[in-house]
Amino acid sequence: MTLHSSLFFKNPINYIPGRVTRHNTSILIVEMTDNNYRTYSNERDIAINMADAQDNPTRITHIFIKAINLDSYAFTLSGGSGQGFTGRTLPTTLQNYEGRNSRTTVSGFQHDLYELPSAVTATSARLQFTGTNLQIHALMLLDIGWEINANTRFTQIEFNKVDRTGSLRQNPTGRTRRNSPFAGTRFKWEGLYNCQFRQESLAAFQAWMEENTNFAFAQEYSRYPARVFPATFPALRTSSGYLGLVKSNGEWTQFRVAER
Amino acid sequence: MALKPPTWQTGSALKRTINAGETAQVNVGALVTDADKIEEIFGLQFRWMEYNESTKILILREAPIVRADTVIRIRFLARNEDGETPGDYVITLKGSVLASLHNSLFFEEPLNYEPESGRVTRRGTTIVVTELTDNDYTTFSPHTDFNINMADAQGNPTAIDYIFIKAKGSNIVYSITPTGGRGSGFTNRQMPEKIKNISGGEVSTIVNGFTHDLYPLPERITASSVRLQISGTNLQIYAVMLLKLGWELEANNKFTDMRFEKVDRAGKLDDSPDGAIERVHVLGAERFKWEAQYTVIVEGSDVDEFMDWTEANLNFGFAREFSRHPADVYPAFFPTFEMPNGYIGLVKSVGETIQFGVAEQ
Repeated sequence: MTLHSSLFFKNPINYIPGRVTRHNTSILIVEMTDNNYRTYSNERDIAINMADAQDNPTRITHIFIKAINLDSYAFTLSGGSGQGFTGRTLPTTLQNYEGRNSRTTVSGFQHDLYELPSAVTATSARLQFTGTNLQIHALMLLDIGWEINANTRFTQIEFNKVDRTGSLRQNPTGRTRRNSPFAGTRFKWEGLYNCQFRQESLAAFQAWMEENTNFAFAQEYSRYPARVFPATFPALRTSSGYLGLVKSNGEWTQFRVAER
Repeated sequence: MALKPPTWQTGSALKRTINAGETAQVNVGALVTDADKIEEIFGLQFRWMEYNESTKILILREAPIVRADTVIRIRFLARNEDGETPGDYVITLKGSVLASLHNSLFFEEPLNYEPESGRVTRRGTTIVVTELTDNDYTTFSPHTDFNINMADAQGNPTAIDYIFIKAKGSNIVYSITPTGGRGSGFTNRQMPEKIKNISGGEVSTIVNGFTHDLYPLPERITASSVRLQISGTNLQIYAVMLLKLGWELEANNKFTDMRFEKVDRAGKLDDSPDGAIERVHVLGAERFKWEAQYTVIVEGSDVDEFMDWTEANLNFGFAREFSRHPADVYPAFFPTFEMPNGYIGLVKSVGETIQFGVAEQ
């Protein structure tokens, strides 16, 4: 698993409404899971219900945080297996695939996509944060589903930032301004991929897509630390074919990813 | 074997002043004794800085231009088996003039252009002057002394980095006096008649009879109010913008596509059954406006930061390349609802592009 790859996670269980509360209370916290960068929580001690519908523990392989003024955080588990950690400090840089530094602070937001040393399971997780004037804008507890090498396996990667709710205001004489509706959603990512499957099973990836039409996505964290978000496969049809006349060379598939 | 925690040097050993464009290396390992490991824990937030933990070398690679002296504090943590000691390395990046008139400059929407806000008045009166901020080159003000309200909605002063003036007349000289903030204005700036472009060729600032000046202030000022005094022979003032710089894009080697079109938004063709056609305009139509398409090379986190800036500044002030096109400074907006970002080729290290449009309001 590498942060240079495009990572496809299952839909974060903590994004199901009502799963995040202030520790030892029933006070719901919604700001960490609304994918709205205008809202944030300054809660320092939170509990997350990680049990599935049958009350079994679920798996966590990564944690993603988007925050401002976050110094460190600790992660404690219960009801499953594996170890949490204490006092993780957010790195300020990371190296991309070519070895160049990428800033993890983008447009004033800190980011951390942390791969746990080994997968853990839990029915409940506790996170404790430190920092002055703390703002937690997003928190995802993630279970990896699929990894696609983003540096050798793609023949096409195009990402658009899309204004889904804006408009233009033009008067009859031609004067024009851009509108955004009051409280409109921020621009969202929509991407087009064309990638090759040479040894892995394309059918297995397509099956995963079908089971996880809503999921979480990290485009290439080591290059774009801010591009980690809840996503969906917006196209109702995905194409695939053979790379060439010699079928054993592999297959390609084209699909879209859209931020929810 | 160490018997005590690491010890950092003090004073000037942990300080450095660096100029724009300068490269340097700092041997962080030489600044501390008895350290087995030195890691950076805070402050390395700039693309031109890099710390190699195995060699303990801090690399400073072509420090960028900044307007004012900028202090950057990098905190290191030196460890051995007896403990750990933090040490701060302080870099002062010397300030200089920000942004180049050879580049494409993206400003926040000029506050004095806020539609129907009445921010520009004749000095000492409440008479609102609209001609300076309507982006209409058929209207002008002949007056010479103005007050411009630059306070935000909470009454706080706002920042100004540049002034743009479009006028007619000769020997045009102007002064600005800010109040309610920080920094001083200037007196008697003569609107220059020529400017040099990046190739060194002289470009006239007089285009179609209009004189233009895009003046970067020596330092950023803030103000809740600005007095503008302007004088000249046969003076007519068509546009005044007080501008805060948002983004600068290198216009001379970072674009793979840059196309500008002049667009008649309100006109149409009138055709008759026998095939004769005629161009017509709506009464009172706007003059033709600029609309452009850019494909520009931007890397890594700068892509996201530029996109975030465009999202926060859908309406903005724009200077295409003042040193080559002095007349092309205007209030603008981003007209497209998608901004594609992709790689130039399969080898990602070659670079990335983003595409966007710019349109004159």
